[in-house]
Amino acid sequence: MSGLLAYRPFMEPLPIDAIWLWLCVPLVMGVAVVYKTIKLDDLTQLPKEALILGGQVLVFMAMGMGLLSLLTWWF
Amino acid sequence: MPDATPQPESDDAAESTHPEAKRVRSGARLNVAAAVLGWVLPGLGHFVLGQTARGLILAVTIGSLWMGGLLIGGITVIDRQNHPAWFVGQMGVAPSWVVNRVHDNLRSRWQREAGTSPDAEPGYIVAYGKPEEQGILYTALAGLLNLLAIIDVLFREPYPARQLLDEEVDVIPPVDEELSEVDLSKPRVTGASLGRSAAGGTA
Repeated sequence: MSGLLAYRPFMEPLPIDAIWLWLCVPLVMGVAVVYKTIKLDDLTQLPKEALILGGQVLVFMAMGMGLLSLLTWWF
Repeated sequence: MPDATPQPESDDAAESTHPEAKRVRSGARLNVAAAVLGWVLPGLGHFVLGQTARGLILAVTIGSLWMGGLLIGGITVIDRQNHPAWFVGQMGVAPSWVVNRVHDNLRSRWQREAGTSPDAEPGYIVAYGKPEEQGILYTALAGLLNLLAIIDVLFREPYPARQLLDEEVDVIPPVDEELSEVDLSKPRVTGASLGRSAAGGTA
């Protein structure tokens, strides 16, 4: 807590070691939103399409992670 | 004695003075200018081309990723000296260059002061491990996504209003059609005739 009080934005890194894996969620959603913003003609479809794409990427990442964990455990 | 009779224009000259060729050239210039603006500030290129909503969404999303990366790792995540390959990606957003300059200046000042005073501090904390990884990833990805947006700006139609004019929207009745046959509830004017009348010609 005392460390956070002295935190200077942009001059010091944030202590994210415990949560770093969750940072892939906003990253993937950001990529999905930008991709769909450029791709779609009708932007009213953007929230739905970006959610679907971001969700798909996250699901496949989780599946890949599970598969790699299984292979690591197996061998 | 040279022939004083006017020669017909060559195909190239005629093409270069044709209104459509001029329109294409000015459109291309606008696209390039918009792409440069989009590089300086993400989303600004789309905004210039009249794609306000698209530009706003891109500005917020790419800007958040870039700022998020800087917040996570601090300014040391943008470092041309130590991460030249990542810096190429980060330069997709032009303000990365400014951050790199600030980082360079702080580092140089610290190195100068360290020569005279061993207690000198750099004024920032260098990110290592996960904060460095995530900060670099966020900022580089923001740059690469902005590159995608810049390419989109280069090939996007700059005149949305002209698209409407070019469309064959039948709104003016043909001359040979009798007035009684015209359905007044459906106004019909051709986009082409609108363009001609706007230019001062006869429709």
